[in-house]
Parts: sequence; structure tokens; C-alpha cells
Amino acid sequence: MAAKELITSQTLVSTAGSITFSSIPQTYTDLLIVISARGNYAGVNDDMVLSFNGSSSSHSWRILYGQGTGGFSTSGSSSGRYATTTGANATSSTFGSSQIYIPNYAGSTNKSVSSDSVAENNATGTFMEINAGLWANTAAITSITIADSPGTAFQIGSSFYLYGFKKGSDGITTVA
Amino acid sequence: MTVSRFSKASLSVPTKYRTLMAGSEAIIPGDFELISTTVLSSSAASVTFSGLGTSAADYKHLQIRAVARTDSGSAYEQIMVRANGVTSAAYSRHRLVATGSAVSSSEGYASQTQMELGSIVGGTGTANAFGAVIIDILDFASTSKNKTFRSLSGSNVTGQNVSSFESGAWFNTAAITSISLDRIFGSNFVTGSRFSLYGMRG
Repeated sequence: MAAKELITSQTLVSTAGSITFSSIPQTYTDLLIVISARGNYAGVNDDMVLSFNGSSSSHSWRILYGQGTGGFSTSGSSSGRYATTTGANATSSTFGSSQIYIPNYAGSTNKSVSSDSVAENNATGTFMEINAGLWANTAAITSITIADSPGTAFQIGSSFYLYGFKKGSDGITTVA
Repeated sequence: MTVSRFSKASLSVPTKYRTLMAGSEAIIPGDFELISTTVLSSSAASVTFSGLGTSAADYKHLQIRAVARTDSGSAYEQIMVRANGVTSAAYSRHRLVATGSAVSSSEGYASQTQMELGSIVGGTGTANAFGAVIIDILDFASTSKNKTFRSLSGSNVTGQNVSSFESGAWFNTAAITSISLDRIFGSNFVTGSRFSLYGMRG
């Protein structure tokens, strides 16, 4: 039985400020979002802000990041800034690479988010991060919106893939 | 009797069959599949996944998983990665590294002749210890995007404790048809090193 399944994908044929995965089936255990995108923010990198079920509140995140010249950490709680990608000042035709993991998305506990993402660039400077986030809401996630912010538009060719990890049959797990 | 020719377009769900004999078991492939794996039975200077235009034609993304060690003269080694056999200055590479006492992102390079995408164990590291590496390449066959590589790796051995988050790019919009893995310091990957290539549908 296959463990990881593609649920849906979107590849932009015109610029868009955001994309939304809606009516997410509740039959998986975890979700994985894989993104190859480029934003229009005038920097080497641009960020991606996620909202769940249309809600942009109760999000918090903490990142370990590098810019090619040092390692740093920062945090925030005003939005679901859970990943980064390549911005308009990066080498042309270069897109970021990101994966965002949301375990137990359909459960009744608060939702943890973990991600790693990079914005590549043919220069010393770039942006790469490992992100730990939390949506302090016990509702099952039925939709996910990914917005370009602080930029305003993902570029043509930006692609977004949503995968689900299937529930497996047990028989080998021992709980003591 | 007319025998219809199965094609991918004619199947609503990609289905493989062990044989075409009546009653044979159908296998519904998943969206994350092993394409190829190599476990070294003798030391080797490099490993190359080739023919990806055919073997990986059904996939959107690639993932390399490796457990490796080299015969370098230190406890540390780094995997060098190239696409399509290109050895010109067509790559960038960047690192965010933790050593157990410090975090640094002091390596950012443009116009390189290779990417470095895996911190593994070298020849003087703890015996029988191998480093673990995962490398993701999204939209590897796109002809409108340069190819971005993202990697997580690490080793925790005497003389070298490294947790690495690395990235690189091949500044070329050609589809990737081969990926070569080489070493920076040692002469060979040692026996027992494993390199696996997976495909993700999209």
C-alpha cells in the first residue's frame, strides 16, 4: 500500500498573490506541502504565509536561518510565516525549494508545523531556514492558503504540491 | 483476439501488474517510489544516477537518500554533486551548519564547479559510522527553471560533529538527466555506502 499520495497540485500560468488547497480530505494522518516558487518581493528571498481554514490568527513560528554569511534565529506570532522562497532580486529563472510538514492535521489537538526551505541565488548571499511553527487551534485543517508576503505575487511557473500520508494498518506497534 | 496496448493515458490510475496472466495481482504504485539503489560492495570514487529522462519520466521531483563514508584523512567528508555531467562554473552552494558548540552560515559561494550537499563521515571517524544525507530536487525536469537542490545531513562521530542544512543550484534550465555524487577529500566512498534515488509524482 502506498504511504504517500499526491492529493492535488497547482502550477501558476499567471502571477497570483496566493493559492489555496480547499476541501482537503480528512482521510490521511499527515500532510506534506512541497513548493517550488518565486515571489516578487525586491529581495533575495520572499516569504510564504500560511493560513488554515481561512484563519490567520493564533499562529507562531521560530526559525534558524542563514544568509550565507552567518547563522541566526528569530521568531514571530503575527502570522503563519512558515517558509521562505526566492525573491525578485535572486538570479533569474531561479526558484526556491520548500517542504512544509503538518502532522495530525485532522486531529483535535493544536497543529504543529515544521519546514525547511531555501532561496537560491548565484551569489554569496541567500536565505535558508528551518522553521518550527504552531497553529494554536484544535480544529481539523480543511483548507490551506499560501500567500506571498511581503511580496504580492508568486511568479509564473511557481508550483505547489499537496501530499497526504496514508493511515496504515497496525500490528507492529506496542504501547507500554 | 485483439490485444489492446496499455498506455499511461489509458489508465485512470497508474497500475502495474506482476504479469499479464489472468488473475495476476495488480500493484497500485504510490506517489513516492524507489527508482534505483546502490550499496557499494567495494569502494568507489563516485556514484551516478543516469538515464533519468527515461527512468524518472513519471515523476516531478527527485529525492536522494544516502548513508555514506569515505576514506578521507579526517573524520569529515563532504559530498560533491553535479548535474548532467557539467563541470563548468555553473553552480552555487550555501550552508547552515551546527557543530555542537556554534552555528554558522559562513559558506556562500557563486559560480562554483560543483555543489556540496552532504556532510558525512571520513576515514578517521568512529569505526563503522556513516553519515546520513537527504537531498531534494523539485521540478527536476522543468525546462523553464534553474535547478535548486536542498539537503539535510549530518554525522556525530569522534572528531567531527556536524549537522548541516545545505543548498545549491545548477544555473541551467535543461532537464536533469543525470546526477553524480563524488567526494571532496577522500579517494573513495567505502564499502557499505548506500545511495538511493526516489521519485515523487506531482
